[in-house]
Amino acid sequence: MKTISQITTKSEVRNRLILLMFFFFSFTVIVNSQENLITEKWTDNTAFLLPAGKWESGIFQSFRLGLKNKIEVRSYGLLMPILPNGGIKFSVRSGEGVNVATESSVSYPTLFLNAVSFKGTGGLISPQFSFPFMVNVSNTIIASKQIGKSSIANAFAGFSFTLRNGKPDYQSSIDIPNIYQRMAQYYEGVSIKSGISFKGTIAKNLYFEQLVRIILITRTSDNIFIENSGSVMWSAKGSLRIKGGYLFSWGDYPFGYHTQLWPALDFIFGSRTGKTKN
Amino acid sequence: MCGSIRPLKSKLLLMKNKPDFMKRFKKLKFFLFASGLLVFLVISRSCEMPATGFKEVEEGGYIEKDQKAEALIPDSSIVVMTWNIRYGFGRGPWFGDACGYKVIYSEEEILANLELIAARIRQVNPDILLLQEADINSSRSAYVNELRWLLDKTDFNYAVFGLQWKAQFVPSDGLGRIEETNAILSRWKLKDAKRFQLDRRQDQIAIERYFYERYCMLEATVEIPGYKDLVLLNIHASAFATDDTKFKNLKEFKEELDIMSESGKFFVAGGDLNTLPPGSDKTDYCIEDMCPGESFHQQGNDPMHKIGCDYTPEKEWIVSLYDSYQSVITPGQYLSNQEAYFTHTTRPGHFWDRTLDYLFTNNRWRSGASFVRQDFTLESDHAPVGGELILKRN
Repeated sequence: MKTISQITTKSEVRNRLILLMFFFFSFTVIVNSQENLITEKWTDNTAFLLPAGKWESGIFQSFRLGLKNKIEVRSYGLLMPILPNGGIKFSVRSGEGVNVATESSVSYPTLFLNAVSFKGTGGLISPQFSFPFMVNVSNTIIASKQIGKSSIANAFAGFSFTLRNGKPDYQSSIDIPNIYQRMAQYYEGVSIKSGISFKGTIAKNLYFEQLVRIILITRTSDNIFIENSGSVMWSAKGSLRIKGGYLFSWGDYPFGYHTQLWPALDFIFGSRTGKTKN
Repeated sequence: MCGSIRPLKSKLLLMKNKPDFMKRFKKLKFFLFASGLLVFLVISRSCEMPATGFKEVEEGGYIEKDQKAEALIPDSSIVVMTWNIRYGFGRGPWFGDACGYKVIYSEEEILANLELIAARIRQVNPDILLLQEADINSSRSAYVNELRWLLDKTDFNYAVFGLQWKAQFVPSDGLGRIEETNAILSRWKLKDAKRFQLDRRQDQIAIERYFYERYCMLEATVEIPGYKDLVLLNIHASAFATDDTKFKNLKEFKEELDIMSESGKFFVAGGDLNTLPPGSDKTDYCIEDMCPGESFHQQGNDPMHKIGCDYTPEKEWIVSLYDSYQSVITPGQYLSNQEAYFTHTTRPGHFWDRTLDYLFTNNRWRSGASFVRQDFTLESDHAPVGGELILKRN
């Protein structure tokens, strides 16, 4: 058995990481039934809403605010100046059994796309391209079933389309895995998304999520993407939660079929967590 | 650490006593196990870094044509050519080297330019082609595999390549994904392809250096029936370094040739050296290469010379190559009429104004058969250079 200092090659490090993750998942199976009220800690991407007056935000996670017991609004605050966006979530069915919510959002990506289209370092898009007026609309329905006090199983489906005054050049897309599929409908087609996720509890103040999502774009090429994300969230102190994990994807990109793994890290903060309305 | 095991065991025992535990456990078990397994299976193939680095020496890539063209046994010589094809952009106004505005070319534009290049290759009909700046999966060239395309549209049967630049996404100027190669195409089978990493620029900040291209040499051996194996070495030396990187690259090239020569190998080597032949009358092209709004050679200009355009300090850098090996264009030929052997210009619409492309051998070139195809003015910003190499019989 090699010690860490003896592990020299990248492939060896990678293989050990794979094993580590594998054992982590096995471990979560064993200890997942710790009794904590997960709906008080982690309801993003579920049919559960934040209670009225409560809010939370992350560096990457959107800002969420519970307006009334059946309404929640959200927005990506960091991007707001260059990518105006907003969304609203309605609780359709709550209480015992399956909870159901719908989520609708709109964004105006033209400003952002034109802002990152420049010559020099940081230019994500060639300055030869300019973007027309575009408004992206997304609608999703989410169903969640709380299992005991410590787990939530979720299923979701939705679609996104773009209203635009002219078609942007197809080659002006940002062809980065995991980003490309979220912008694909700006260029052509409707994006249809569906998936399932599971949130569970590992130990007191330690939670995990596994999510699988498929994204289909209604066009003839560059049109299918499958994503799997896994994350662990530690409810550190007060309302601060630290979330880390990975986002893995496979898809049909303009440059071919491709698999990609990205690390994910976020810091979530907001009102002190309390009982979630359901 | 050990102390925490006992409470955990107790908790697990308690959990097992709960009536709903096993039911929930079974549901979760399958889901999480499947997720973990999925990650386990695919993660090993998904770790492409934002920009790819290379070892000092790596194996090159191989491709070959499905329907092979006939490869005759040569009489006593073969035609060898080198050509920098500029990503298939032709003489278009690219931002990186021609004061252009354009970064991304469309598939139609790339294929039209590749048609021109392929037609010229068929016209010259070389047996071996050293190719520089051939994209195989780059956003700027519409993700056209130029190497595969040229192999299929010419009489070559085999190709090897070494990646000169591989980045998932270059976050500058909208360049995006890049996979650029140096390649060698041949009628006959190629073997032992190796990519040599050339010294990298040290005059860039870390993030720029990380995403910047990795200039390289590509070596392969061609088996020509009835003749001694011929080693082929293709180089693309650093173009815009402001430190001594280009000098080091040329030194590495010469050293590799010396090693081959000393070990009794028979070679032809060349490519885009990005430097001028010794004795060139003109060595400073700052004014010619100046873009609108730029100013050089004036008091207070910083930099005084445009990067990559002043070859004055490089006058002696490839003298040793000429001293040791046979150049396809002899020094005498070049010095007697330099303009006739110019191979490059940065300016769209202008004629060739400097020589950057070379071929050397440790055997002989057939006298009077060398060429610089200066009439190929539309296909690239480099003119192809070639000649007839005398082969060595087994």
